Amino acid sequence: MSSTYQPPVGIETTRVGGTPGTMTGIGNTWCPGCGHGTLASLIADAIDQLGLQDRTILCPGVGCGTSIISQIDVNAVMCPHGRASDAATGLSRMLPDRTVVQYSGDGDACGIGLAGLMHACARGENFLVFIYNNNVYGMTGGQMGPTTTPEVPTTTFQSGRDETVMGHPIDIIKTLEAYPGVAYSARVSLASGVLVTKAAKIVKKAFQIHLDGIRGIKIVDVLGNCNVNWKGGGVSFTPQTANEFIESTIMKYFDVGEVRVPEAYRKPGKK
Amino acid sequence: MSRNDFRPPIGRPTMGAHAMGIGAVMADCSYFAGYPITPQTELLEYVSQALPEHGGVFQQLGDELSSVMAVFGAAVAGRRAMTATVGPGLNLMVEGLANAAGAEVPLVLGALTRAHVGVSAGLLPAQSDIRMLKGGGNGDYHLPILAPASVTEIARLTVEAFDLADLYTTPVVVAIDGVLANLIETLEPFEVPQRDLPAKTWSLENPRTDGGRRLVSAYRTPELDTLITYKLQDKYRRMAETEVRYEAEMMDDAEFVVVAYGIMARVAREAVRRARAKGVRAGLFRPVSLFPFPEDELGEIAGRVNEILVTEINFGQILPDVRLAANGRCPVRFLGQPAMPIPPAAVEHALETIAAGRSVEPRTFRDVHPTAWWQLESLPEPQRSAMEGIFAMLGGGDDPQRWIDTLLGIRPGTHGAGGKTS
Repeated sequence: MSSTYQPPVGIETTRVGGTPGTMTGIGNTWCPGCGHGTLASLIADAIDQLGLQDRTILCPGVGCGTSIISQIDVNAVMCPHGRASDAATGLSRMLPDRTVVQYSGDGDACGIGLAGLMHACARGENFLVFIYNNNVYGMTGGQMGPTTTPEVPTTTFQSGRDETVMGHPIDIIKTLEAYPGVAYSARVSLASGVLVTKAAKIVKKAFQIHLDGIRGIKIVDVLGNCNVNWKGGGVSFTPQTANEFIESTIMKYFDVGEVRVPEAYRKPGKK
Repeated sequence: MSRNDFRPPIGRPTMGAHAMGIGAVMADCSYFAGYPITPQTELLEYVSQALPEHGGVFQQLGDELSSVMAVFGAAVAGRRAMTATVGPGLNLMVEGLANAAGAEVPLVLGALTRAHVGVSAGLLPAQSDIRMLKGGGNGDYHLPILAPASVTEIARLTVEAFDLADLYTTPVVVAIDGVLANLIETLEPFEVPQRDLPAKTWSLENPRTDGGRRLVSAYRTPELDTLITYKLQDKYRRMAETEVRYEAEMMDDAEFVVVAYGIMARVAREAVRRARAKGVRAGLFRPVSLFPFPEDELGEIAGRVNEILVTEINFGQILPDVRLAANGRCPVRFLGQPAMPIPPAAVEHALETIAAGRSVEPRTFRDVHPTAWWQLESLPEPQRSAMEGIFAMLGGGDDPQRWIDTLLGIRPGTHGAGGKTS
């Protein structure tokens, strides 16, 4: 089916090793330039390379990311908004030999589903978590979210997060540093070709660590754009300027890189 | 009898909450997640030991919402899974239950209900969650609700609930109140009918075949969402045809029928016996399945009796079902109170009242809490005056001792040394 896959017309896409065979090839419903498609490809690519297509179970939460259910050809269960960590808990406890993957947006994982995610990390549940962190509630049209950084225009706080009213964004990777139940944590960015190549390695590494039998949550926070719905206060972006905005502004607040790495996977001389 | 090597403690004194756990282990439940809340804790403690001993997994999660969703996750893995909670926890679980109903995922919910609206601190037993259990979440779904009335029946219906859930791919509720949850009775031998259960072809445990398996409760197209809702209604029609359960007692010549379920059915049975001894032709109708409700059966009865008396530990949560079933064929009266079982004497009194052609006197605050006045005496001022004011406002200024005597069936002048008068 992968041969029928066509990238959206007029949009330059970053290909990492061709179209992964695990992709269904069904046309996606994400906006042009959105990073969800890139992240879905990276996940599908890792599943391909590690031969996990038949043992992966995908648990998308609710948000734009839910569409991944039609993009990646693996068994999947759609979870209610914020409940993917909980459903993945029951699933992975019952099917410990499967690779259970939570796929959430930042609102799903760090807003409505934060309690479930943190408890899953505290218990050291054994599944993977990918968060597409675009700093807004994209599906509902660009409202401020728990991870919105001050400069991101939103429809509810038009000149960006008002820190006197709404405080500060949640850095989920830093928050979860406190939990020994997290086996692997990292943040990547999809803002440029170079960064996507780095992201591909980290996504695959998360799967590899899981496959090697290291128990615990493997979580990757993925900075991506929402070029269509970063529109508060009349601001407008193109995919290109949105990605530049991630590099110039959002990455000031959110550090990219690995944070928790199991000992056997660390480079010599690194903690 | 068991679906595994577990042997239920037949012939031994068993608590109602434990009986629910016994049913779960007998049904080969693989996963139980919960969050402690009175009076569900005895069940939680029971399954925390019994389930792992028989190959299951027990987890205590962050809240009821996480619990029901983890149970959903275990269920989509094709395993039998259960959770249990009480009113305030049910509020949180409604999301998971509605989602499981819409996604057609089988799981079992034990509802051990207590009194009050919102956060309840009194912990008194009541049947106050039946209305929300019938479908408190969004959309046109129903949950099958089984309402056992004895410890043995709790165990049996819990096993059957797992079968029903698998058969109709739906969450199923076993609802008991706090009295039954903490009631200790001998566990009698019981049989569970063997049903032909469909293979779980939808389960994510199955290998990925062409196109894989996707379990969803919503589709990208509104037409498919509409289609699912029609499919659900068809399922509820099939349930109404084949899964209605009830018991009718002393009905042959009955003129006045009490409709009650759970612990109130046992109270009502005693009241019906007493009323019959006094010449009132009373009968008892006990719905065992509150959904699907025995509508046709009760409708037929409504056509041949003088009046129906519904009695519940709430303000009428199956009353609308009974009224719809009766459909104007006979008057439907109601006797309820917000907490604790209504004493048999009060049900008997209500039966005699309607038999004499008068209307049922409502149960007042004083009827429910006759001892509140005793407790008042030990309060220091100014709390005592303040509480007296509140009680007077809520319950009127009657002589509380008379109410206590009536409720407990004590004849005047037979109090011991501890007897008090206000």
